[in-house]
Formats: sequence, structure tokens, C-alpha cells
Amino acid sequence: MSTVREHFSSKVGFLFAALGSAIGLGVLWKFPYVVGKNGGGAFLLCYLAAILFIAVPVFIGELMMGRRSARASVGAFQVLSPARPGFAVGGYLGMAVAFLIMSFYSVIAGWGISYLWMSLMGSYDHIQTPLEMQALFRTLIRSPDICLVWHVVFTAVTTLIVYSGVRKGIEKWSRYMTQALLIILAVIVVYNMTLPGFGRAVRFIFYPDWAGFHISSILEAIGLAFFTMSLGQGIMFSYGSYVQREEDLLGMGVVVGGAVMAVSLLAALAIFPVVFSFGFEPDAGTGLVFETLPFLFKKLAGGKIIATAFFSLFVFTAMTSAIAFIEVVASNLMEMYGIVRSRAVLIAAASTCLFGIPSVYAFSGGIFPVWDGVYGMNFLDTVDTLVSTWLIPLGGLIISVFIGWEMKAAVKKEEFDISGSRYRLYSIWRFLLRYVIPVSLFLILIGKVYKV
Amino acid sequence: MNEIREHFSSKVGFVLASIGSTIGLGLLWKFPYVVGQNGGGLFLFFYFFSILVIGVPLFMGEVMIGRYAQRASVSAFQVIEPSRKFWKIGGFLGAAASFLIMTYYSVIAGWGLSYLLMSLLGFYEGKSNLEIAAVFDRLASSGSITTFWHFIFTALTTVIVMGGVRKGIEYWSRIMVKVLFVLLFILFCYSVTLPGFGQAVDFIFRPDFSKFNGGAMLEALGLAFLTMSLGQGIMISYGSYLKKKENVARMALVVGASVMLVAVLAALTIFPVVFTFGLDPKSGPTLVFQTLPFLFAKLPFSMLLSSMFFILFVFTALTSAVPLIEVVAANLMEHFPIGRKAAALAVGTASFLLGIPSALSYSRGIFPNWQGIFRTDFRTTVDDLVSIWIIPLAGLFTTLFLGYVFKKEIMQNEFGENVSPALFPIWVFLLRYVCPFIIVLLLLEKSQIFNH
Repeated sequence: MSTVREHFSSKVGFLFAALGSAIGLGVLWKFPYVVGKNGGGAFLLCYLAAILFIAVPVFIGELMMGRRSARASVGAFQVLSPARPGFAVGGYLGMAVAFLIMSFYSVIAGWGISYLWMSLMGSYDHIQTPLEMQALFRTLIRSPDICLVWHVVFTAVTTLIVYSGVRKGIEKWSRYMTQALLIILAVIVVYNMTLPGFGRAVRFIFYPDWAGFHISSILEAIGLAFFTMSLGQGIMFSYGSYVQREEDLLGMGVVVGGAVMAVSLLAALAIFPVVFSFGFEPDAGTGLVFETLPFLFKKLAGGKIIATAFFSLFVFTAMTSAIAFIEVVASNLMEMYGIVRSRAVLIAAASTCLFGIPSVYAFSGGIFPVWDGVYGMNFLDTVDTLVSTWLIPLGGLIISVFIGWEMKAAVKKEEFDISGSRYRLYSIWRFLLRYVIPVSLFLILIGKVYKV
Repeated sequence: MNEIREHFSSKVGFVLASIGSTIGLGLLWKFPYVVGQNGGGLFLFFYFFSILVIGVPLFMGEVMIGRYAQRASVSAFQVIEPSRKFWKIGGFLGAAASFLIMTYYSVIAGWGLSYLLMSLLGFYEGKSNLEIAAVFDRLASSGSITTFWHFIFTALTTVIVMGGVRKGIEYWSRIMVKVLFVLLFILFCYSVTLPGFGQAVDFIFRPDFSKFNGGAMLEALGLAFLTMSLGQGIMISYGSYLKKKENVARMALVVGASVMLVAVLAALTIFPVVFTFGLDPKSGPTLVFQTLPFLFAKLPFSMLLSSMFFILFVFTALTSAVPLIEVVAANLMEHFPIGRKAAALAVGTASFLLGIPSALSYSRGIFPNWQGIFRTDFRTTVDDLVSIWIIPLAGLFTTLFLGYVFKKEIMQNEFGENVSPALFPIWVFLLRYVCPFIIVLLLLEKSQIFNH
């Protein structure tokens, strides 16, 4: 390409974009629950180690591949190892993961928009029991027409942002939204400190409970770390290719890792105190966000504000990640077919939007009436399970093997910057990518096969 | 076209792409059964002989037509013999065969994708035999889900063809054929340990004179013809991407030998499983989608086995489907002023649309009275039309063209210097007398034209 590649305008711009993409819905609705269930503090330590020794090294590696090759995920492999083109499968996997996640992410984000609207309008103020709240949510997800509208709206807004380019679109909007997200999160946590359940929530999250901690918790922590740092999804390749040459990748990796960790804990402190204050059981997923929380928010002083704030947080969280998914697909398409950004973004968005329609209809059975009967779960869950159980660990495995073994040492050293005492850090990084990370990811995959 | 025609980057690339094309689903699910039913070892021996007598010579012939003309099937005949347009019919028939096969092939391959997903989701767990078998009925009779997978498979194939000869066809065929061999070998090693292995060896290899008769010989000849992807214009197209100087005879032998090897390995992999549980050998979709899944479920490592088997299945189908789209697209590109991407997209779309009746043939969504009128469902009707009439006719045209029209001096020249010149007259003899005779016999027998 003759045009100069667009770059992030500043380090801070990149950090917000990376952070925004890393903080996804999983951080909000899965992390707190998984931590509590797996032994609280003990698990947290494990998670911290996994972030440091598994996720951050791969994060640095993905950025490095993107920056060095100035390509998105597929092209990065092709440029860095022309002799072994087979590795590019790892890049294709990343692209597929981003595509598949985006297809159902916007459906869930669409529910979030509905709830934001409902909170603003007080649509569920009259509801008295948790059962009615549940019925309300069921009605929503079984109304494909409504869900379709939000699915399209969410995809369209995301598309507009990515369409505007790296600086004016991705960087600018990720920055705004991530900042807003952090502020909202902080406000809710501060508010939660006044609640009676705060102490119990802190205990649930931090107190080491060895009874809940198993060997499988270690694998779970690794998987979670991998997932919460948006690895194996092609994102950091694309973002890395927009990072300036003089930036220190190691520093960026550590900062993002630390920030993700901090935000995850904040999210837990934003949600569980509310749950515990009313004596509800901890829970995860859609039931927590769309059934339990709205019901409980209603009972709080200033509940309407909290609910509105929470669902804004929810939508921002989804959107900053969605931007990255569309960007991954679009930037790969641009390079594979030599088309311009605007066109690639439109193709990417139109296709994820179309592929998402069965997910919109997943709960009403309009498109595939017997899907649940054949696959044992609805369409949306099927795509989710396929991606998070198989494609992400598999892609991660290929990436770590590639960086550890296939990428040229000279390139790695140059990109890592091994001046002075940093050579030691480089050796550790390389050791992790060569042995520790592939083995852990392999174990995760094996664990799936044997149902450990 | 002004631009230089794209060629395979290497001999290995061509051979692997050709092997991928020839190893199709028939080899996986029909071959073992047919061998067992027609006299085991004797049949097998005669099949090998048929590959040498009819498969390899015609394969060489098709490759040479393409390589000499540097054109896809239809115009290749025209370029070589401009004065007699009549021979073009052979090219048309081949392209028609490829297109029609693709329309229903992707339906079956789509089920394979579905079973791969189901294996990854662990759908065997806690299900009885009947429930596992019932899943296939539910899947096949769900028009929407079958159409969905039909679409996904067609889209995957189309995207590969759009990538071009080197970056699309050669790249993906190489990876998939290698994976296919590795998986087949692993599964074979597993099958060797099963108690039914001895019985399977017996079923496949033991010569049974009572079953081996004229009909069986004809069956072997037909199988040799079909398993080498002949009469579909495929080898003409692939040949046109081949550089001069390559030794066609040796490549044809390598492809033929690989087909035989894979056929025997597939039989020795699948039947031990069937015999271990004392079941009768079967063929076709019933074997793959009903018998094997519930047998896998009973074996140790069921999830791994079943996932590997269905990856093998999907790759087998995909490497065979790629040339089907490629043949038609390559012809379109030469007759209309369109590029590769547009041509591939057009063929993929048309094939998807024309395949919908096949996808719905079990749910009877379209043509509910088809079976009552034509006595088979839509998919089988198309299959029969192609394999009984179109392919043999196209093969007949090709062999007559090679034997009587194509100038012998050119063919001698194309035959290459590295091959023993004594083989050339034998080759011509086979093309002139043996192949046409056998193909006419096959046509008469399969079409049962004299039975009434």
C-alpha cells in the first residue's frame, strides 16, 4: 500500500483503546462470579499470576507482531514467516473469532440498550417480584423484532466509529467511552460502600476459601486472564500495527494488564454489594445483569440513577470491545483484498450483522426452530461456546508457538528493546512463550476434551 | 487476458491440490462398503488395476489438455481444435457436472460441519443410541439448519477460490491435505487397537470368488473413474495452472497411489469401529452420521475421536469442493470479462441457490411431490443424473478427443523426455480403445438402458 499507515496519536490513546477492547462483558458479568466460586482470594492470586505470566507476554507478542509487520492478524503471520505459510491459520482464527463474537455481542448489547431505555423511562418501576422481572426479560429476548432493531442500531453505531479511521474513530471514541466507563464504575463502587452488603462482597471476592479452589481453578484462571485481555481475537495485531515504533511494548503490556485487573475488581465491587445487601445468591451472566440487578437497583435510594449509570456502563463496555472486533475483520479484509477502509468496514459490519440474525432469533425459535434440540443449546450460546472453548485457546496456542519458536530472535530483540538490564526480562518473556504458555493452553484444550 | 496466468508455485502444490480433489467423500464412506460387498481382496486388486488402466491415463490426458491449452475446460478443447467446435461439448459437460455436484455436495458437507460442531460441544454425553441416531433425523429434516450449513460450506469454498490459485487453492489444499493425512493416520492407529480390526481386515482383503463377477469388475472400473475426479474438467483446469516441463506421468501415478492408499486406510479406520460392536457394514450418510457417532460415543476418548473424524470429513469435502467451484469460475472468467473474485462469487451464489432444493429434500420444503414422481429425493436425483450420465459422457468425449483428435506429435512432446518413450504408445492405445470401451460399458450398465 502506498499510503502511510495511520497510527495512534499518542501512547495514552493506544492505552485507552486497548483497555476499552479488553474490558468486555465478561469482566462485568463473569469475572466476579468466577472469582467467588473458585475460592476468592486464592483464585485472585492465581488470576494475577496468569495475567502477569500468561496474558501479558502474549499481549506483548501480539502487539509486536502487528507493529513489526504493519499488518492485521493474517498478514502479520504471512509477513513475519513467508517460509511457513501454515502459521497464518492462527491469523485466520483470530479473524474468525472477532467476526463470530461480534455477531452475538451486538445482540446482547442490544438488550443492554433496551434496559438503559427502560431504566431512563422507569418502565420496570411497577414490578414487585423477581419472577415478574424474569418474565419481563423473557418477553424481551423472545421479541425478535425489538432485538433486531437494537442489534442493527448497535452494529451501525460501531461501524460509524470504525469507519472514521484509527485516530478520528477508534482512538477518539474508545478514549471517551473508556473514560466514561471508568468514572461510572468508580461512582457506583463509591455508592456501594454505603451499602450493608459491601463487607460481605469484599469477603466473597477477596477472602481465600481453599474449599472452592481446585486444580481446575488454575486452568480457569488462565482462561479468564486470556479472555479478559482480548487475546487470540486478532485485536492486538491490528492495534499493534497502529502503535508508533518508539513505544515500549513491555511497559504497555504491564500497564494494560494492571488496568484490566483493577477494572475487573472494581466491577466485582460494583455488582456484588448490591446482590448481597438484599440477601440474594451470587450469580453470573444474563440472569444477573438483566433479572437480578434491575430488580435490586429499584430498591436502592437513587436507584434510577444507579440503574441508568449501570446500563450505560454496560453498553459502553460492549461498544469499546465491539469497535475492536469490527476493526479486526475490516483491517484483515483491507489487506487480503486490497480494498479501502470504508468498504472493508461496511462489508465486515454487514456480514456480522447478518450472521447475528440467528442469534437475535435464538430465543424465539423463528429461524432455526429445532436448533436447541440438535445442539443442546440455542444458537447464540452455540457460537459463544465454540469461540470461547475452542477457537480462542487454539488461536492462542498457535500465536504463542509462533512467537516463541518461529519468529526471528533478532526481530524479537529489536522490538522488545534489550538494552541494559532488560535482556533478563526478554529471556523470561521468551521462556514463557516457548514453554509455559503453550503448555498451559494445551492443558486447557485437553481439559475441555476430558472434562476435567 | 493480458495478465500472465497464475500457476501453482510448485509441483508439490499441484500434487497436493490434486490429491485433495480426488479424495472425496465417496472414498470415505462408499469405497469400504463396495469393496466388502464385491469380493474383498479380488475387487481391491482389480480396482488398483483399473486405476492404472483407466484412472491414470485419463488423468494424464486431462492435465495435458489443460497445460497445453492454458485454458479451463471449455475453451481448452476449442484452443486445441479450433476447426471442430463439437468437442467443446466435452468441456461443457464437465463444467456442468462440477456445478451440479457442488450444489448437493455442500449439503452433505454441511452436515459434516454440524457434526463437527456437535462433537466439540460434546453432544454425545448422556445420550442413548436411539437419541444419537434421532439427532440426525432432526437435523436432516430441519430445512433451515441444513440450509444454514449448506450456506456456510459454500461460502467457505467460495472464499478459498476467490483467493486465487496460489494464495487460495494451493495454500488451503496443502494445509488441509496434510492435516487430513495426519488425522487419518492417527485414527487408523487407534482402530488397529480395536478388537474388530481383524474382522475388518478380513472383510476388506479376503478374496471372495463367489461375489466377484462381471458386475463387480465394472463397479471397480467405475469407481476408479469416479475416484480420480475425471470427467469434471477439474484436471483440465488444474493442468492449466501447471508449468510446462513437469513430469505429468509421474504426478498422475503419485495421485493414483495416494488415492489407493487413502481408500484402504479409510476402510481400515472405519470398519474396525463398526465390527467391534458387531454391526453390519453400511455406507453413505447413514454410516457417517448415525452409525459412527453412536459407536464413537461408546469408545474411550469419544470427543477427541469424533472431533478428529469430522475434521477429516470436512477437510475431505472441502478440498474436493474447491475445484468444483474453481472449474466453473475459471470457465466463466474466460468467457466473460470478469475477474476471479466476481466469477467465484457468482458461481458460489448460483450453487447455493440451486442447492436449496437439495438441502430441503428431506424436509420436503420444496417439491413435496418430487419423490413420488422421480422415485428418489431431489438430492439423489441430481447425484444420479451426474454420476450415471454426465460424468461418463464427459469422460467419453475427453478420451475420444485425446485418442483421435489431439495431434500425436504434440502429445508426444507434452509426454515429456523423462518418461520412458515405450510407454507413450501404450498410453495412446489405452486412450483410443480401452478407455472408450470401458466408459461405454459403464454407461450402458449404470443407465440400465437395455434392462427394459
